[in-house]
Amino acid sequence: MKILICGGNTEADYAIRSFSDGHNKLVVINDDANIAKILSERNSISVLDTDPTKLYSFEIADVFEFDLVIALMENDSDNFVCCKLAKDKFHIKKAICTVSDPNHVDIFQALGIDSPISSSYLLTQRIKGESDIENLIKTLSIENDKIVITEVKIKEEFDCCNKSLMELQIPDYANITCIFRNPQVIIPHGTTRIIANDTLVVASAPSDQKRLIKYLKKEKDEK
Amino acid sequence: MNKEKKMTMVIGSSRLGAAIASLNSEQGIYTSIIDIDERAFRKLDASYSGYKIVGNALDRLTLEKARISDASEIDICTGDDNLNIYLACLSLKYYTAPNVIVRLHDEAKSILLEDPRITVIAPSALSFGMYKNLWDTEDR
Repeated sequence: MKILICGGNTEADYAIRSFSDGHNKLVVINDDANIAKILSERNSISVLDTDPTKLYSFEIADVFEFDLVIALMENDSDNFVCCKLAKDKFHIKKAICTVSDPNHVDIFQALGIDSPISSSYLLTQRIKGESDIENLIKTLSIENDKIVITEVKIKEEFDCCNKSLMELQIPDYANITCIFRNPQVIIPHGTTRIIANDTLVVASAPSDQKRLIKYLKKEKDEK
Repeated sequence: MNKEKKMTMVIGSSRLGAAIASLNSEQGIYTSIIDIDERAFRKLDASYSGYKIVGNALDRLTLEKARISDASEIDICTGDDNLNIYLACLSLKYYTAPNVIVRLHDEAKSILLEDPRITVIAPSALSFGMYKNLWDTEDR
């Protein structure tokens, strides 16, 4: 895969290391001369010290029809322009960028950026997931909140415990994608039986998450 | 507001932005201007009678407060080309103003704003045009 990485500091360093597996061609642009030098030395890669929001930078970098651009600058509008140049003028297939304002996720997508990522949004989701008082449920949103993945730890007193999926009749608004039964990961089918201490990984729409949790946590004698 | 009446919204009370807002206001056009720094409004003419909104134009609530939905002309004149491009794209996508005027210091970036509703003002190109006129008229 041909990847262009623009801006960023530690994030850029991590992205370079993650994609430096010999299968990918990386081009890195950073307009901070000190960061460019550090990235270059740490990763033994040449880093272009130029502004990733300028047309001439893209021309120098020779990134026409690359597969992916990752824009990691601090400023949301800089990332927007970088991705727009990449997509509209250099036909780079996919654009990913960070956004500091979570409200920009939907707007950037509507304006043609494939995957805007808000760290504050993800962090909030993670904190919400981790702070469940019973520590039984964790959640993760994907596709910018269109899909939610819910982890539910099964207790002996739950009605669903010791039942097969067939008996359980999972509502059609949710799907058990896998079951973690330490140390195994089980891809379930109709005859798979849920037992105590299983962790169910369930996909649903965010609007259905509450009733899904209520359904799974229903106790045996509860109607 | 009278729907037939024109309305101009200016983003960025730079020298250009303040001059545009002052001119529109003087002509009796309903005008609003946004800047993140209240002190920037000092550049407006003393006779300016439109709205002044202090806020970040990256925040859509600020734009709504300045009545972007009612604007027939949006003039984007912050000192940051990338912000200006983003705001122009946002205006095209979400609002109906038939005229969006954008100041860009780096004229090369105007390739991102190819749309009939957008007019780009590039100070360096205008300055060079004036210089060229002088060159052509002077005996060299």
